[in-house]
Amino acid sequence: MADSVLFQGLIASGDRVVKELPKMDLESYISNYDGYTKLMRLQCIAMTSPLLSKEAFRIAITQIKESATKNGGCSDVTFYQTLVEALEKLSPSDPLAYLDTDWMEQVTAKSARKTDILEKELKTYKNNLIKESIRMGTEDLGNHFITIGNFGDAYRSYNRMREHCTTSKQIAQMTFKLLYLSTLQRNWGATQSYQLKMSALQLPDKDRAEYDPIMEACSGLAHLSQGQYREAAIAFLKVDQSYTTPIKQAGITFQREVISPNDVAVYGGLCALAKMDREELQRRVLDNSSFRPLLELEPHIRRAISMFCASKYTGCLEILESYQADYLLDLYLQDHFLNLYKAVRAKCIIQWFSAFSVVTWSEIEKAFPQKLEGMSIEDELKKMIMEDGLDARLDLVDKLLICPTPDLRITTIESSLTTARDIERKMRLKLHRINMQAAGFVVKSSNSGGNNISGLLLDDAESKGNSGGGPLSVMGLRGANTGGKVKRGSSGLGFGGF
Amino acid sequence: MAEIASHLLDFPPANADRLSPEEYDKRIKTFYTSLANISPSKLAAVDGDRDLLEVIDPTTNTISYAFVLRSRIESQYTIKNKSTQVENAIVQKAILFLNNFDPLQARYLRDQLKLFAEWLCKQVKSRANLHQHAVAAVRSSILRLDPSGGTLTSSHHHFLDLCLATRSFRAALPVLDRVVYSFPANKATTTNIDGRFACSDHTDSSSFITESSGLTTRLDASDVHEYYLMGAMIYIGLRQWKDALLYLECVLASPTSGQPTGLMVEAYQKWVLVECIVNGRVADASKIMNQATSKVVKGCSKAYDSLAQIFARQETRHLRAEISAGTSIWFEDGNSGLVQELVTSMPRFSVINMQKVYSALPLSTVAEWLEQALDQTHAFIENLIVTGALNASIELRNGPDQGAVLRFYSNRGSGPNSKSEQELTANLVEQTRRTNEMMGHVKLADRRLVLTKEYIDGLRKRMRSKEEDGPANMDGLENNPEWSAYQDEDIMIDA
Repeated sequence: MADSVLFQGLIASGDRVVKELPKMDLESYISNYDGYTKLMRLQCIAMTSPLLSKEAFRIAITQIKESATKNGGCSDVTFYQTLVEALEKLSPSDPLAYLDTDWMEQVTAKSARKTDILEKELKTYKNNLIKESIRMGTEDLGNHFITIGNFGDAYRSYNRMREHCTTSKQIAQMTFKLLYLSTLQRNWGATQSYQLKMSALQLPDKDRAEYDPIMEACSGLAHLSQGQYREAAIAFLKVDQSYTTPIKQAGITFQREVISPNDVAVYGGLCALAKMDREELQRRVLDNSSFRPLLELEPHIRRAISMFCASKYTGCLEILESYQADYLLDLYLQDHFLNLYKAVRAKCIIQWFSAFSVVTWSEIEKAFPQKLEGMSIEDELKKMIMEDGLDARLDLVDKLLICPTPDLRITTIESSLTTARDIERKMRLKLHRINMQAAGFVVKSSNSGGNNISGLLLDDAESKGNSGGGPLSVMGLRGANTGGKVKRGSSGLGFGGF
Repeated sequence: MAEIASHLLDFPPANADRLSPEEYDKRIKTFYTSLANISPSKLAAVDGDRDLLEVIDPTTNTISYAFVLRSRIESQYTIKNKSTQVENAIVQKAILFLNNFDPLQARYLRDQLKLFAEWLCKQVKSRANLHQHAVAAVRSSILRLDPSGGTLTSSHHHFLDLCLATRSFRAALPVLDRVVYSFPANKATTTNIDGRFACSDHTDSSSFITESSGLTTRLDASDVHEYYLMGAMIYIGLRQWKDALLYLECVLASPTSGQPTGLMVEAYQKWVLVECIVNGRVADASKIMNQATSKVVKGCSKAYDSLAQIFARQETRHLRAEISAGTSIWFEDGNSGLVQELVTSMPRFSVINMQKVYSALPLSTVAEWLEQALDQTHAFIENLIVTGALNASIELRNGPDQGAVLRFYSNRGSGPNSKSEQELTANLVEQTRRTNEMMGHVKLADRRLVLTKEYIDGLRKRMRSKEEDGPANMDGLENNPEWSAYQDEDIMIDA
């Protein structure tokens, strides 16, 4: 399948294509999800893995058609079209690889009709001035827009609900709707802002306990997608074990429609592994009783973390490598897995190296064989020294990694000298400032101040001619005159001096 | 006629050393007034009669000498057919006077001293053979009057101007290296702590160099800026980058009420370039100057800021392109030389950055990275090692196709530029001395501030508002013996 038109195009445009077979079983994996997330995940797999592509497309297309029957004949026609067109490039002979135009027309017409009906209904509610019905009418309209894939209008509808909400619970429900929408649109900044909004609401403890895991999981997702791995790890680790039981919030099952408990475990575990030190991992991840049940859903992640804590770096990395294909097919993780992996690897090497003073490169390569992306050991170590805080120097001649051995006494004296010099300089400037102020030498800003500057910069000669101006402008203009004088001096420097 | 001639020698009296400051002050002032009352034409006539300047000794009879010299200079303005010979003779006399006057008497001269300095600077610019002497004379006049060099005068200004015009940069150093810690105030403040007589011993030279003394003309903020900018340019000319940086910062750090002047913009532009040369990148300017000012200044200097960013990223080619694109900007601002200096100092930072990552690497690799020929790189790095900018060594290895190796020393205790603990301790001691010296200036400034009207008003207000707390935390009063006595008393009453 890798030689199909679709994947050739993808390879040519430099997109990621994963040729290895992942450990997961597509059907059972995708049965964990519902709604748009399911479609997006399938699309993501279909566009990345040549081995699973066809199957993924088939499931996705069937899914869209099925959802139309469930939703009274409405569905996202554009999404359907995109999928079918892609499948056509992959395997033109497939029975699903032709556009069912009849069905599309039917669905479009039905969707438009439903939009009309809902809008009319809303209008009637508005005329009746009953807040509750207006709110529900707007919500229905928003839900319908999501079904037909019109996210922009859905956002507007949900946002309009705000003024018709009467209880904080309703506001919470509305926020959930918006949160869901923001994850669909991948508008991560908004996702984070909804978390703040939610925490500002006055809610009973019971509701709060139900909402918080969802909010934390979504905010973790937002951080992860923005590459803020440490923040993501902290957010995911706050997700309570109650997240494992799916509950509908505002008609959305976040566990199935946005991020599954397994995802929380994988994302959280990987981010923590990449960005936390050994002690933190032990305390905040392995000994974390509320996160632990989630982590047990993905035992290999727990194993990897335990191995890191037990200094079995090779084993830890091997686990990550063996799941590479799976993670590269994950909708949210695929762009970040390699970064995370590199960070973990760098951490492993740094920890491992801390026991040595000199190591040959071949020794490092033996202990940490390169399995992902061909980066030379030299570049990798260089990057680690510059970015990841590996305290070592490279010897390019003998191919060694050397741990510097500074003389602490001398370093201390030198650093105190630098500080002292710096302070002396700062003190001198402060004193200068105070003295000038005391002598009344303050540059006054005048009404013509703005002109001063621009005038100065435009033309010295012009301002020279003006030096007979009013007393207020004299200071600035004098600056100009002398500026001209000084400038000539320095041009002299520029050509003769050097 | 003869009366006048002999009167000129009346001061100082034979017992001048034994006079009390009060007496001395009175006498010298009377003498000064009596001379000022002699009409210039009479004095000129006496002078024409007999060369008075040959008779009077500039060191003993400073005041008289100054009067005669002044009358000669003034006569030059009225003469239509000036003879260069006569003028040269006067210049020689002025140089003699500035080198030899008596500092104590000079404090009583009103404007003669600064006039001579100014006149000399003007005269000498066209006389190349006298440059060196004139620069030295003006310098000695500044330092004789005020050996601490701590109070800025208009002569400082003329002096730097002359140094720049005659390109005698090194000669300016004795003045530039002294810390200016006070300015002649333009408000009539009574800050002379060590007695009100100019002839007394003053710890702070600003107590006798005031505007009313006539030893300096009235200065304002732009004069101060100009002084520091010229100073910075002299340091730049001498490639003493760090000192230049400090002088430029003095311009930037001066107080403003929001709007910077053109000189500050110019200082900022030079500061950005020099900062690159010294530190490889530009520190946050808003830490030095106030935020509103820095915003305006930055707005006027975008080309420089972007140049600095490129420099910090070590993009050699980009830097070259940017420099050639902005040639006219650098030229108009008079910064062409400095900008070119960026190109030459860039590789230095590349090499310094290398030692953060590498402990040893083949010289050929370094040359490749610096985009230079091998020999050039070799010479360049050797120069860095010799000047102490880099603690490294170049090892030549035996054997075929084995090139030289550059080895960095992470440890300051080893390598060719290693420093022993003793050396460093000596540095520390020296640094302590400098800091303590600075503390002295801080105390002086503090003392001056305590005597200002604003402070006393504020103090009075605070005293009134919290009578019960007492002025226990008043700064500046801490070292006042009377105040501590008062506190002691208080404690005793409690006991």
